[in-house]
Amino acid sequence: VNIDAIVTHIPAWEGPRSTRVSGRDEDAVTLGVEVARALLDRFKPTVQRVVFVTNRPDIAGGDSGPVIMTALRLESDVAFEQRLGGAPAALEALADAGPGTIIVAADPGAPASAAGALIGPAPTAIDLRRHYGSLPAIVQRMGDSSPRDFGDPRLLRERGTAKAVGWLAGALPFVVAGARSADSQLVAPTLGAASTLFALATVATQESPATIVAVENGQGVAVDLPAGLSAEVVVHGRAKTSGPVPPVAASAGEIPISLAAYGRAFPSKVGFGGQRCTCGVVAYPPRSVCFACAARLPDALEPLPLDGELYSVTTVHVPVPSMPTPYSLGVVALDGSDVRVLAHVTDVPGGVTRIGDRGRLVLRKVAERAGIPDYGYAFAPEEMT
Amino acid sequence: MREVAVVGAGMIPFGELFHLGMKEMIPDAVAAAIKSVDKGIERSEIEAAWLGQFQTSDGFSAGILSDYGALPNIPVTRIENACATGNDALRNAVHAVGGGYVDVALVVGADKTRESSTTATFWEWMGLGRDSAWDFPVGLVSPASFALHVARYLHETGATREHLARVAVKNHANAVSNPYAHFRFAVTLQQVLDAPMVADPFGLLDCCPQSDGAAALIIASRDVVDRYTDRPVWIRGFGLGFDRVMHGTKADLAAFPATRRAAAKAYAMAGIEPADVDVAELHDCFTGVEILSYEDLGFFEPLTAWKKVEIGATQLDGQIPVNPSGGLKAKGHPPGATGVAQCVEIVEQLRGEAVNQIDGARWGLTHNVGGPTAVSAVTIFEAEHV
Repeated sequence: VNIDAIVTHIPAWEGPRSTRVSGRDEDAVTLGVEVARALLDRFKPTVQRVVFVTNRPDIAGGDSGPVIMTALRLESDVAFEQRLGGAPAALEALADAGPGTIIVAADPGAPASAAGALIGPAPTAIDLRRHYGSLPAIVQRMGDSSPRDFGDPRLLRERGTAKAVGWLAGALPFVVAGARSADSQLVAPTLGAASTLFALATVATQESPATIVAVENGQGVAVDLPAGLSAEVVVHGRAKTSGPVPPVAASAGEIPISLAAYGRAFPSKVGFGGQRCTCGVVAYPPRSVCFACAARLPDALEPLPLDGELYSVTTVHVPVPSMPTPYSLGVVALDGSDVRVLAHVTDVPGGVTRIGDRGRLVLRKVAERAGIPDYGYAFAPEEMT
Repeated sequence: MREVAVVGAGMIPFGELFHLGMKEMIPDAVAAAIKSVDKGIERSEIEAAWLGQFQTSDGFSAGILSDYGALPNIPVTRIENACATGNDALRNAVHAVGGGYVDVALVVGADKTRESSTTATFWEWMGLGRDSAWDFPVGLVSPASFALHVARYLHETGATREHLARVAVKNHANAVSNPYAHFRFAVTLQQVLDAPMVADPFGLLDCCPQSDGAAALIIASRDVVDRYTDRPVWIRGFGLGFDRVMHGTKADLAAFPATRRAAAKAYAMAGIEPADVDVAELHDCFTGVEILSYEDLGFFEPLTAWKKVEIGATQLDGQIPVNPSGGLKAKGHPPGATGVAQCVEIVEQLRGEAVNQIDGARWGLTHNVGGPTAVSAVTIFEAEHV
């Protein structure tokens, strides 16, 4: 196996028992983009395929692919694949992966985490893969999105998880992803797809061969990994939690958003790209004619820098429909660019940021219209050290 | 181009007028303007009307002015230009009168902001005028839109919330005696500073109210002005200026370039300097906006106006009295009516009959800035005899 790098990520917000939970503006898509962006920025790989694994798809039949691929600014010939499932699905994706694949696994909610793995140019060689399945899944998703839960975790543990782990674990030391297991040394923040990559991060730094056993709902798959994977492991996310997720205003209604307007804005808003005029001025958001010289602007977008600092900021304390209160809103001056961007402040509570604070623009779910997500960029301040 | 003067000006008291619709407010304001004409005027002498209204409620508003205003035989044009609507309605009417197309015109401003629930549908009312792809979804509500400017101003100057609060104290004090004001009560510096935050650095008492109201002006060309009054108030200059629409593209948030553009036009047309202005009604939708506007209008040097606030330079007895009516802050802010009501106050000032009269005022100025801080209107008036 040629695994170059693994990124693990936890969101900023604190849940019960020291867990981290995703914020109101995060979902599987934004968590996935967070780790994939970290892999791309740090390792600058040549990517041929992005595999997105989650058992909590926010938009299973919607535009998660376009959002992720637009946000990652990858070439249009890069393949995108979405796999629905938890830890076993992520392990299968890893076993299937060819050179130049980024595997992204996202577990939004409470607790939440995400992780990504970058498969290097050498061929992948996982040839020992075992499957197990016995117990009817105690949690099932029917036609609609709400899960049906039989509600017997001890049944799952005794007849599902324990049997699966027992059957799948072999002679090698093993780590269990997707379930808490007394036999395993892995402590992953979540039990979904991301836990497999957290397990991989544990194994990848060990000198001896090991088995990853990934289970979900009484099913499982195991993969034996050779010694000396020597993948680089990057721990991403805030070291310190920002506290509990701020509550949303009780005010009724929602801020009206035109889906058509969002559609027009999409390539620039999700890809964070501006148009460069022949006169040198960069336009963002996009427009048809340059403000400086009135020349017709090209449709092509160039990626804007994601780092910058707050030129101005305000914090809104009154209830605004569907917004957490208080929330901060800033104008961010991008590094090495004349472009400034209006963005909400994320990953920290409202009211703590000041003019001059540095940070990074990150993809977030900005709003919803009739339940349809609207993605854009938010300003995540640098963590104070 | 002919000279144009205001010969009649009137308004109804601003407030939460749950008992009045557009169909009541508009005719009442028109009647008040007609009543104020010294030598009287017949409805039949009004040749055209412009109605400033930001957001429609109660139905088709130009038709309401025609029908409920009992003016069935004249053209009525609705003007909407965000918070600059009122002064812009006047500008359009002056074009027609000055251009010689009509001799007498009516300008009405009216809005009902309290026609929908503040907890829910107010957002619908507000959202209609906003960019729904980039701005409004991130929560760029009106106080935040202005707060981004004032926060930057405080950062660059070292001014504090106390300077903003002084504007609230001044304008509330001015409104106490104004029978048309929405908030006829005084506030203390401490009350303003202690009020709950709305959008940093604005607390509740830094914000104008959402008001209902209407105001009206009757304007006439020099050719016919003597029929109506011996003390016309001349419209000497006007300007409408713009800034970039989106906050990320605004070059300088510590100012309102739209106002600078509008003011440059208006001063040049009137042939006066900022220092000539004796009394002004400025767009203090939020306290800090008044301070930035002092600078944009040239009353004080850039980034220095906050120091003038410390010495009370814009109080009734100051160097340049601003918002003797109480301003938007205390008189109220029904957007379409706001600019027209500013003109009503300035007309009264220049005729020597205002409640908070500035003695010997000859030059008066009105100013709006709004939209996503992207449009401004400035009008300059001169008294006939001082």
